[in-house]
Amino acid sequence: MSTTKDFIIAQLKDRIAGYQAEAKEQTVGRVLKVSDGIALISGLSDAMMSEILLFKSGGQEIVGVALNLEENLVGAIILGEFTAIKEGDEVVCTKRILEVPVGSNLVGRVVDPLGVPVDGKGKIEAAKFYPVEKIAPGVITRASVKEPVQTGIKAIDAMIPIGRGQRELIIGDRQIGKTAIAIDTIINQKGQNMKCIYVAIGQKESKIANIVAKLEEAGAMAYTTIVLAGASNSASLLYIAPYTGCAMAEYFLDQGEDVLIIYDDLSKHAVAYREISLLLRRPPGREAYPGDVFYLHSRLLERACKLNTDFGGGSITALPIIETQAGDVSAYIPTNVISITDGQIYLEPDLFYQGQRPAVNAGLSVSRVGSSAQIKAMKKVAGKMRLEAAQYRELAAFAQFGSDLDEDTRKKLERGKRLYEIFKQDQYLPVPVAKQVLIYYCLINGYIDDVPVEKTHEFEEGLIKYADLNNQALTLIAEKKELTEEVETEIKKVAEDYKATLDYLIK
Amino acid sequence: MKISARQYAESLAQAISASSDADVKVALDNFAKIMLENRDLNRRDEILAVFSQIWDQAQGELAAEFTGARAVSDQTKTEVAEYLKAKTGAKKIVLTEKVEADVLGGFILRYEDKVIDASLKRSLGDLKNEMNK
Repeated sequence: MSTTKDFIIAQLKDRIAGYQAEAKEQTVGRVLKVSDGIALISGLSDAMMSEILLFKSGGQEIVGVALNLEENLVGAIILGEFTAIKEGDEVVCTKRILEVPVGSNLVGRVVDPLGVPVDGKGKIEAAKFYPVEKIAPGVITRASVKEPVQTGIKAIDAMIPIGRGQRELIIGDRQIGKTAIAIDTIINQKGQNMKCIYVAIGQKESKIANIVAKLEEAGAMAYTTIVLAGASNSASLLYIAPYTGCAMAEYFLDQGEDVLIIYDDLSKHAVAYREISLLLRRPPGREAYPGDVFYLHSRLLERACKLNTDFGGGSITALPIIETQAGDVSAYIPTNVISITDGQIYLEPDLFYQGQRPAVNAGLSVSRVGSSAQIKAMKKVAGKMRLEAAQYRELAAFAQFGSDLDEDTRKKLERGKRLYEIFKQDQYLPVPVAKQVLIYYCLINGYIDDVPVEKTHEFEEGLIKYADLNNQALTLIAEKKELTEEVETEIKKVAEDYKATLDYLIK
Repeated sequence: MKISARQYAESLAQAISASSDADVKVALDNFAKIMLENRDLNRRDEILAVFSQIWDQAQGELAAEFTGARAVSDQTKTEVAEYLKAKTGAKKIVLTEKVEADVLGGFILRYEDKVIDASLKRSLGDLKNEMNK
């Protein structure tokens, strides 16, 4: 017992000896006005842009960030409990830009936009602090996107492939499976050498609790960090949340690792920024958003990148999510983000209610850089799939008018039906790329033409199970990553063998 | 165009600096007239506050506030004033003294929007934070 006491005393003595009292000159200001998470402060002539300001109110220190620097005034957002701040309170400059803890200790945790854990698993010892706002990597440091991100979603990996370092927008109405795509993608990153960061902006905390539970169940929290700015947080926290997530991603980027970051969703982020801007009396523009709302998202998404090997070779892949109102993609924020990103996955309500889930619209969804990142085998089987899928939907609408169609059209329609059946996929069940290649190979080579449409799903499951047990095809595809003759014969063999066991084929 | 308080104050300072007492009276009358014309009379407090700042600056005057736990000797005050003169380049320091038992020991010096806090209260607070780490 006495040893612990002595130890504590020695420690205290050390601390006291190491402490140096010094008087520093500080720049102070006084709060002129507080409202809804915004404060106007007089004085503070030395304040810098996005500098941390400390509000000394009622014996506690509340953090704020300078956002408006005017002649006699500083406008600041308050990151914390702003009800304690009163008019006339003292505010001190800290000469530090807003920064958050980063490092591998954050993996598996749920944190708020300031890096403070909110999952009740104890304190986080941060390796480093990174500034929240950072200029995106320049031209010299970048490389072209060439490695794939396997989402595990058949429709996306085939038609709208995503590469490491790409920014792919997920866009659609509410309740249509946008988050589901993001979560499935995270789950599928297991063993793919990828860190994941999920930034929840203005989401219901119950939804986040569900997501965390699902990710834990799937073992995906082992490589995932969740940055949570819930619906009950102030607009200022919502505003910095995506930048915080990106700073955490940049730590792994600097270690040469690949990171997947999901911003769910940026429409709420824009709304939070609009709130802040209007309270700071910046002039409103279209839809009352401030003039720099484009820069708000472009500077965030530009930080997603693929670095070349001289700079570590890491990457940040960004999947921003935008919620549209009644399918209106031509609103202000959707058009902005569409133009910033390298493509979009458009989810359509009609498809969703027809039972086509994920409800990916093949015609309006594109990936501008991803096809160079597909593995060779996938590229070969899925090359023209997007076109075919889009054509099928047009043809199907047209075919409703006439009954006698020529053989070619009929065949196309039949195959299209089966293709769309294959695109259907349940939530939380991502499909590895080798299995996707197998099923697509069977489709384009006509092995599924004599399977009844309503049995397609059953056939697919059976075939994969059969191949898993009896055949080398899947391991070969995963190993070789291209369709050599050997692989093709193996696939053909498994398809024929499996079909020989079936009794529901159309004769 | 709206004229800012600073613009008013600067022009007033310009008009009355280096002029005789009689001229100052005329200048002030004219200034009041302009304010009336522009319907800015209700902003006079704001304008006057900025004016006194500008005037002090032009005259090399600097207002400072010295807070201690006890009243201090005149010698200390002159030393503080000399220190501020050397630091800011002001010609004259107007030092107001405040006694606050809360400070415990040492002093807090405020001028412009700067604070030099060498109080015992802050040191103890810092020490507490340091030990809590």
